[in-house]
Amino acid sequence: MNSQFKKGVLDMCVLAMLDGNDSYGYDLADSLSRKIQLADGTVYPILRKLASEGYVTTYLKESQNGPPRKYYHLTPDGKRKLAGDRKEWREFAEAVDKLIGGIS
Amino acid sequence: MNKKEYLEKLESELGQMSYKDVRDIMADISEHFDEGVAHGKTEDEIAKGLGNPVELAKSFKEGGTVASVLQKRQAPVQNAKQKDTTASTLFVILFNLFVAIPLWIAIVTALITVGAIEVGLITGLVALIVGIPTFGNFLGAGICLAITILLVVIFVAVLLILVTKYFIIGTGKYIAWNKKIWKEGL
Repeated sequence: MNSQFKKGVLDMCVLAMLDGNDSYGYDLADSLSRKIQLADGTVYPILRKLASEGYVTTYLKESQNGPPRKYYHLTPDGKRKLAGDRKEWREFAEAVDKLIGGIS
Repeated sequence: MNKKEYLEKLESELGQMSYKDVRDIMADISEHFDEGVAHGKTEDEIAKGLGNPVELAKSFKEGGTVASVLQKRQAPVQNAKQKDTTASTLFVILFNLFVAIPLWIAIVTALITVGAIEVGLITGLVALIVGIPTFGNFLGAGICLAITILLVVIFVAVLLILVTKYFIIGTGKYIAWNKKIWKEGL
């Protein structure tokens, strides 16, 4: 898929993956790259950006086998951001579908 | 590429980021390798999965930290600008009220006065020329006077036109400047 398409919505996708359950980098990278074809590394700069914007916070949590994992948690600000992005995306996607005659 | 090589390449590409940022990123990517190995992948597979370290470093540099630094730097500038605009707007209002507007009125009044004098001179000149034939012995003096007044009339007319022209241009520029100050501050 066109990488410009992805770039715009990846922030929203990462926020959505964190909605309801905290997760750690490897897991997020793995599930994101399974659904949308992209490099596993992509998720890390996005996570840092979201953290610096205050949409997610991080904490360390022991894992059963191995060193502690860095978990990401959606903040109330992040939830609001996600709700807004979601609404905008739906409206946009709907309008584009109509334009290109997508959904039958 | 193994873990060590990948991290070294990434670190060298992150070059100009702060020590803390680089350390955090290294920890994140290092954790990713450890998790991958725990999931039964080889370091080479994980490195391939992560994507080109040069590209990854670029995304890190474009992303979060850069944006947050910009935000922090922009905020005070905006505040200062806000203050500036209020102060300069106030200054412009006071300046207009006490200097610019009175000065403008004074210049307009002066121009009207000079204009009125000019009209008076022309009227006098016309009357003089009409009366010249009746001057008799003073004909020569009359013509001399008429020529003198004519020269004065021409001189004042030219002066008046020039001053009025630049006055109108100046007023336009002053209004434009005012608008700019209003919007952007000094």
